[in-house]
Amino acid sequence: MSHNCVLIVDDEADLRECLAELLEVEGFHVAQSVNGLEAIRYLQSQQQPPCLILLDYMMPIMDGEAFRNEQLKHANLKNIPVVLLTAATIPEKTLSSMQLSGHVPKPIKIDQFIATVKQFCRPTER
Amino acid sequence: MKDRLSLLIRQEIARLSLRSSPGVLIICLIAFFSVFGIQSNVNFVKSCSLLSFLIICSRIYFAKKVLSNAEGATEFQWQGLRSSYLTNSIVWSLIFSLTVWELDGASPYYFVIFAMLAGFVANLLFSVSMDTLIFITSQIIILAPLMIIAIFQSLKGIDGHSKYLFLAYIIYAVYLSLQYKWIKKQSLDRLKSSLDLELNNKELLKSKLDKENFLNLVLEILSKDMPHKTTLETIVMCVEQFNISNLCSIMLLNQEKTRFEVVVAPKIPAFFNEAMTQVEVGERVGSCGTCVVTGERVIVEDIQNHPYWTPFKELAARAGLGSSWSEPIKDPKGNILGTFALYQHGPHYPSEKELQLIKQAAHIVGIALQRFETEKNLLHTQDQLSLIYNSTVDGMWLVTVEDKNVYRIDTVNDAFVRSTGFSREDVIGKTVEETVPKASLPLVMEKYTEALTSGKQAEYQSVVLLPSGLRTAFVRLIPIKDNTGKITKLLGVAEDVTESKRKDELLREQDIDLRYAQKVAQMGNWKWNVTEDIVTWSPELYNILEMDPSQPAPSFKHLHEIYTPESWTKLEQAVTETLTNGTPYKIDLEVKIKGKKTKWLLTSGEVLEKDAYGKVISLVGTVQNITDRKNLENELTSALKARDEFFLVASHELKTPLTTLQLSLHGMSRLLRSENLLGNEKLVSKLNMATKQSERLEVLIKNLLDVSRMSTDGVELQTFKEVNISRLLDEAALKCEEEIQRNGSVLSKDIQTDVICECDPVRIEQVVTNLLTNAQKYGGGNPIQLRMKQIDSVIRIEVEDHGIGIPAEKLQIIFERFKRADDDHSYKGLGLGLWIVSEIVIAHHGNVWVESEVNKGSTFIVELKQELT
Repeated sequence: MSHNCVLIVDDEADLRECLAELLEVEGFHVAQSVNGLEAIRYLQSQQQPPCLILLDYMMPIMDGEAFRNEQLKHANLKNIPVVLLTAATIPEKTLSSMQLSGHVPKPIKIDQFIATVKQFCRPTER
Repeated sequence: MKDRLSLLIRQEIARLSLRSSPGVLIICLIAFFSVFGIQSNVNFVKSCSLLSFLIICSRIYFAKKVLSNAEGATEFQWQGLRSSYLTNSIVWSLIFSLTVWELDGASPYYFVIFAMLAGFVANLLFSVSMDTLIFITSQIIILAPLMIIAIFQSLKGIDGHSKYLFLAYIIYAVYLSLQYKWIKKQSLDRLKSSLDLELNNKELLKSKLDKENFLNLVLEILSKDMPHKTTLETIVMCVEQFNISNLCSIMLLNQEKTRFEVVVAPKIPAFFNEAMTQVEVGERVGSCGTCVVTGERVIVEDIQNHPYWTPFKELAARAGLGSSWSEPIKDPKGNILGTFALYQHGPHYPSEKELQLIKQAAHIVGIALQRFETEKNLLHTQDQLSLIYNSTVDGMWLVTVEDKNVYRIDTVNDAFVRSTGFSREDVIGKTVEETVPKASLPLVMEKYTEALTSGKQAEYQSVVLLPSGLRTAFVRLIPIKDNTGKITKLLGVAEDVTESKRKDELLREQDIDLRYAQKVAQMGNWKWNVTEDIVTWSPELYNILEMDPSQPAPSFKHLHEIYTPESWTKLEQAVTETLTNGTPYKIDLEVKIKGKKTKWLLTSGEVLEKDAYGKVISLVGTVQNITDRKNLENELTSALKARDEFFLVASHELKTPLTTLQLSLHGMSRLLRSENLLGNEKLVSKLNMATKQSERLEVLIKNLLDVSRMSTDGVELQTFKEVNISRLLDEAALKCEEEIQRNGSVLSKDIQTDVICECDPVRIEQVVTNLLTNAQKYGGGNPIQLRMKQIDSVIRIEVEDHGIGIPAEKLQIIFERFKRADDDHSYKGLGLGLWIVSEIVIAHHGNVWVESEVNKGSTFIVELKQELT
């Protein structure tokens, strides 16, 4: 049974806020982390894993790729689906090694975005 | 044997004697009757004069005998004639001495003494020499003063006796002079006609002719320039002189040695000679026929009874030939040329002397023929030399050395006339000094003098102004010596080097031009003779590779020392390819000069010559220093790379805030709804405006990103799949329609339904969108048409507007990056749209172009393959 919590990992505060608002309107719970390291700490602290991680690529301290590598090391974390959310052009090799469940380019197409999220999470009824 | 000449001379003398005898008889009579005024011993003088009279009579008798006996007077008769002169002279010497004894100084008869003296001396001399001229001359010399005195005396007045005497002497003197004339004329005439000698050879006539001198005579004849036939006839006649009964014939064979071509036999009847030319020679065919075949003498003693002559018996009889002796005529090599034959009227076996004669005669004819041959060869050689002289390319002239600095031109050849422009009349007979232009004269004269004094060939080169123009010639002067060793002539040979000099100069100039061109272009060229492995480099190539030009060019395999490993591999491969297939190569290669400096070279090579089997003999090529260009290229590449990297980074950086912006706007629009502010039109409109602009920003940034990615990696087509392109176009049109309509324009569609195309849908949609955006931007508000149709396996998409159009010269460049048809920046955009379209279409192996007319509109056409595989 998946939680309907979505974890947003991005160093841009405004973006996180807009995304969070958007998702909450759609009936999702949202958690935020400022970079990969913080995201790992948060995930370890939670008992229930989120249904989806929305991951930015370019972040200081621990970027998207490093986070994913870290995540995959932990048994309790590795199965959480990750969708890359980035403006950058990632080389094919990196994408395949990250074993992502999806890739949403920035700027975000909202309808498509919501649909992608709903693939992994069920919104709470209002 | 009596020789003919002496016979003739004797006959002459006999004739003279006959003529002069009457005169002498008269003198004897006068002497008898007048006794010359001698007082004592009258009887003695009378008897002497009578005796003289008798002697003269005997002289007449002997002379007559000598003349009448044409076959040759007997020796006795001839000696009788001679002795009459001797005895007569004795008699007259007696009379003379007596008169001298008796006469005193005052006597008028003293001139008689001279007459007697003259008579005595002349007779004596003549009896000894038998020379008629001496006979006459001596008389004249002695009598001349006498005549003069007699004339004086007569003027003084003389008595009766003296008158008669004087008259007698006048008559005699006149008669002597006439005789002199006759003798001189007649003897020569006779000899001339009988021997047919053309020249007035006194020595020949005077000399006594006998067997031993025969050879000398003939050789003398040969030395004269007579026609060949005449020479042979003369030889025949000379031989015939030895015996009146001799009939000689020279018969010469034809080229094939089958019959007698030439018969020289003036004394033998013509019909016989004619018959001889018809006969085919062979053994037993007459004496001559046999002779030429066997090469040995043939003696036929009796023609009528000899087997060789059987077929010609009657012919010979008719011609009056009784015996024939043939001697072969041979040339120095021993080849038989013909025969010398001696015939006699009756049967006769030759004596040893006669055999010797024909042997000598044949030998001489052989010599004569040899000489004819030599003459012919000489003429032939002369003709050849003349031909060479006139056909040689170099100008030649022959000068005679008359004096120091006086060289007269004898002949010039055709080449001289051609190249100098002088005509023969201009130069022949003139001196060198007169013909050579003044400017060149000092050198020319100096050289002529050098040739003359040193005796060796003098050479010089000069530029001289001739009628034919300004010419450069290389001249050789060759001294020619006569047989005393003195230089009498000079041969000049001139080689006209004007043309070759000009060509040399032209080549030199061309070489300089080439070198300069190579220097400026920093390009050198090389040639490689593969079979002999000889390499030659132009000077610029040495310069480029900073190698010593005085050293020979390194061979191909040594080049690996200067090229970098990758470049060397490339070069080896290219050269091998060229050597095998003959295809030329052109590649950029990197070299390391002296192990340190790097240069980039554009090297090319191609086949120059192949052998008959198609194997490559030699290669040629160029090497150009493109280091500067390469550096610029690299700089450009890195600049572009830097720019594209910048675009990449920039686009990412721009996207980030844009994302947040768009989300915020979306959030705002949600709030408006939830806060029921949708009625506030101003608010809504402003929000919509902001949203629209953010979308525009998104497109611009997306294009920027596309550009940078495409230029570095080319278009990456995300997914190739079978797409319903009709639906794709409908959707794209829908997206753009709103914007188009907002601009007051109308979009009409004519899309063939259910067309499948293998392509990247996202990209193709991008193409259509870009084209429609352009159509709207430049359409001027006029209707826009979107069409699609399938023709065979090609899908044709057209987007037509009726706007400002595109000028013809811009139809190509608008597809280039950052290029727009209008330079007026009033139209917004980065100028990337069409470039992206073009790149995508190319990646699909399709085609895109535009047809347009200014102020009428443009139609963009895209053609795609239905199947890409």
